[in-house]
Amino acid sequence: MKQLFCSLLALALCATQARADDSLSDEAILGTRGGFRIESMRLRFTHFDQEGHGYQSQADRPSPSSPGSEWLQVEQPQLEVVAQQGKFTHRLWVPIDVVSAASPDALDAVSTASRTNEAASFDLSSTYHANPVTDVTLRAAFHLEEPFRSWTLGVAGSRSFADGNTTIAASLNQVFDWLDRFNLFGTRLGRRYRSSTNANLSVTQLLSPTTVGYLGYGVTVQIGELSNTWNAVPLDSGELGLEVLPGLRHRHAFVGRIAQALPWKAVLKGFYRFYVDNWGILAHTLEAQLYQRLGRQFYLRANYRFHVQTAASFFSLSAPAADGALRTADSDLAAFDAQTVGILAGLDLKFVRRLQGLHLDVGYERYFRTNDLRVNIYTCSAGFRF
Amino acid sequence: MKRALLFVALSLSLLPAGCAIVPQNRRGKLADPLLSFDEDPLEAHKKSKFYSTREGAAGGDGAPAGGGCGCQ
Amino acid sequence: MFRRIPFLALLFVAACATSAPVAKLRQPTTLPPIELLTLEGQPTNLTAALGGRVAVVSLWATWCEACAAEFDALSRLSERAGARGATVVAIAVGEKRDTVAAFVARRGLRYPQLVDEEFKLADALQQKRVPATLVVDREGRVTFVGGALDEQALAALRAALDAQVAAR
Repeated sequence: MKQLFCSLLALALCATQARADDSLSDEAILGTRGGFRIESMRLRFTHFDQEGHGYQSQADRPSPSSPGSEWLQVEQPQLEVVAQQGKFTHRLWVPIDVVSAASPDALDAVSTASRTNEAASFDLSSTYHANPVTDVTLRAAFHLEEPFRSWTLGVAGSRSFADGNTTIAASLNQVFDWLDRFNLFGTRLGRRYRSSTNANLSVTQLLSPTTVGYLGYGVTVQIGELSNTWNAVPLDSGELGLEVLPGLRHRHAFVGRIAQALPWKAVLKGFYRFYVDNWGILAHTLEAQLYQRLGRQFYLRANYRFHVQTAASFFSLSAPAADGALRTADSDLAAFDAQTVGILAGLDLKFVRRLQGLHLDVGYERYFRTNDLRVNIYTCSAGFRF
Repeated sequence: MKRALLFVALSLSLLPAGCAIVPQNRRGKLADPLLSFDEDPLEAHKKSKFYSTREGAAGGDGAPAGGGCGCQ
Repeated sequence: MFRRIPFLALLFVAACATSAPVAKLRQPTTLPPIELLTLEGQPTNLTAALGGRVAVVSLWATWCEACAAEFDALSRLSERAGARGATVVAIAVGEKRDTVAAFVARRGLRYPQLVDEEFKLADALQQKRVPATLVVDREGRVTFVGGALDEQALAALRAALDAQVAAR
């Protein structure tokens, strides 16, 4: 009898234990994991207001051999949606450009049919978090523009070392473009192709509890039609000729960055890039950004950028008229200095109603170049974390 | 120019003597999103597209330098 | 000259990655008698806070997003483990008490909180990551050490509770 009682008691205890274990089960405590969940959404709208002159345009020229008006306005909405799915992070990004310009392409040489140009891209990437220190990303994108199409495939990976103190990242991208070829007079001459292959390698290193450093190198090899095909070049004969560019370009860029947290709730970031290519362009770019937090949620940013570059070896504003000789008067390939000054105000709110986070910012920048180009840039953004 | 670049590269290779291993639980200041180099990808694209279409020198920031749009 | 740069860059990376060895974690067996603070600023220690109960101890920080991701799970665990005589104690490491107190109030966290302002307990337990999860038995011995709250930590908690029942 005693043994029966003890057995029944033991069974009762086990049953109680089982019911209690249910309340401490993995599902009861941790919840269900995996599944598809939208994590964040960001919107940014930017307005560019440009004025200046250059041989990329034939509009509003005081004389046939003068540079045209580079007046241009761009409305640039962008949308980004990020979703989590188990070990995957998916990102969909859609930037759109609506360009109103004095001369967006050579069709304006004979009509105003293309004074407004629309372009959009669809860019989808998926990152697999293989383990806490390794990520692999695949990317595919399509760009649609008049009269241009572009396809991109990319793969990237990153790995952390020393408990996340060092991260090495590498990426490889292949871009394939096709574009309609026009001459100076807006006549379509067929289709041209361009290929751009790009590889990047970078290392991010924690230098102290308040400092992060970054070194990167990128190389891009482009072959095919590297001109927009209707750019004009003033010739020594007084006429205008078509731009003639090499069919190969390899471009190297070395980048260094540093970010330093300052004791008064500020952050200072520095950026330097050295660039060189086989067209003879050598450039230095320096940029500084200073962020100042005002309270827990609000911050201001001031930024300054200085860029100086040499001209392409075949740049000329009075090129020889010889057939086949390389020549360009594209002001982007000229020697110049450029500066950018800007300011931005940002607001970060956490746990607003059902949102994990809400971000708002508004900013203005002014870009000006020594070879007659000035741009006002107005931008605003809203971001939501769910 | 070449000597200057070699000097910079050699200096960088000596920096490890000063590199600190920062334990993960001491990265409170580094967790500030303002310190991140990848703060806002949409703003990064705005900058990258703007400068690559107006200056002959682009690249080194993880994206192709050239191609992808009708803007060289 | 340019051919040497990739080599030098790799040298820089390798040196940084190996310039100081990461300490190998050694699982301690007993709780060190290190002073902590309650959110009200009262001095205490972890052994006193556990009161001889089986416990899940979570080391966290207000800036840690992975820690925030497990607040809801820790709240559920605190309620359900409490029904079985166990407890959940969260210890914020490396931050000022008033910063932690304000954060806890804003987020409405209801399970017990302590503060280790100077990393003294975290270093004594050789925990250099947040979140970190420990399971402590009724004798005050650490029986499990892990990262974020996961299936292994819950299994260790259930094992500690079973051992407590068996010992009665």
